[in-house]
Amino acid sequence: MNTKILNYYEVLPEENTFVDIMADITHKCNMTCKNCYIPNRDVPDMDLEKFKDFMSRIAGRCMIRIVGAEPTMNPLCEEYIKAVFENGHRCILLTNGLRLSHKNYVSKLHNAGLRHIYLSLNGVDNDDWYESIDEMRCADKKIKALQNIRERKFILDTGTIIVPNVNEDAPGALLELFDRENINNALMRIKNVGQLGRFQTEADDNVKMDQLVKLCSEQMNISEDYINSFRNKKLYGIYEEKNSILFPLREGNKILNRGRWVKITNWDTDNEIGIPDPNSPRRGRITKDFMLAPTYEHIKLNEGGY
Amino acid sequence: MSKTRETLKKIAMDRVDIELTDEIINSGTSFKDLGIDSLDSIEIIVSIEDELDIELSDETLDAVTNIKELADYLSEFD
Repeated sequence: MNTKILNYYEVLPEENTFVDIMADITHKCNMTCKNCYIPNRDVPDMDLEKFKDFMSRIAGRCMIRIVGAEPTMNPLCEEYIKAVFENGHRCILLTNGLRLSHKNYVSKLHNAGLRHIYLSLNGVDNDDWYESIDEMRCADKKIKALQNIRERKFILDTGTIIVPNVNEDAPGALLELFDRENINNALMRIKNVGQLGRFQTEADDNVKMDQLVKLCSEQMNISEDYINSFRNKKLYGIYEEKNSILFPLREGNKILNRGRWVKITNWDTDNEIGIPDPNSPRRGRITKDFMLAPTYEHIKLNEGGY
Repeated sequence: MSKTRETLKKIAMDRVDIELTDEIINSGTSFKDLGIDSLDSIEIIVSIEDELDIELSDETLDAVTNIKELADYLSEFD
């Protein structure tokens, strides 16, 4: 890969200008999903002491995204979370939720100060969908995790990848699940398949942005015009991302994640660089050597490795 | 002493590292001028609901634009 094409660079934490920073604290995972941007399991866990030092040095206040593979597979996961808060940053845990089906584990995360969780729900409550996308019939565990997250009043983001001819009914199913489980505050992230690492759908076969909008419109009982009125608006009031549309289901709702929100993202890498959201000023990733790099450029350069 | 106001001060310090004095609250400073964005707002709201075991109204919160209005709304739960 030509680093000039990717516009790749690395900076010290003191020189940080990113707002969202990914910390891949482990490459271990308890699932074998068909869509995974870091499928390599032969990498040691991120060094906790170096992570703490890194947190103390980052310029600015950031959202630290504790991620993996599956971050809860790191036995010290809560310690990383504590280090984020001790240094005044925000924190979100991105998880498949299997371990969060246990109440005690969710309490441990809460006690570490965590209040914001991103739960992947590719199959929503449908085991056939989970098997087709994530190779595991895990709907029961996902729903238990969802219930535990609600019970502890975490801020909730959910992530659902739409795979053609598999789970195109997922947006509506997600709303029905939320109604059943009394989930009234959440950001539902609906996206197509990203062609990074391991993936099951080529870009040509992907569900396109207009189709994602149509699926959400039809299944969430909102008009396409309403969704499209949020196109090209700045996300979170800061960055414009041409590949995403963020909107509240209830018109006039202003506080993110308060009430139900939707973010539709087109991860289609239909460009010569082969990454979504190239040159993003927003997203950074901690490298193996504890430097900061633009997220997707770094992932692309390290495909199959870190 | 207002329990909800003290809780708001504690949570602002714990969660978003902002020291709220009575003077600042009473001045009606906007969230933006305090450096509180939408993500901070939800973190503060969730923490307040959790700590005080109350449920805040979405409609009222949407109408709240500054820290005094939030403190005044919370005082209904004192």
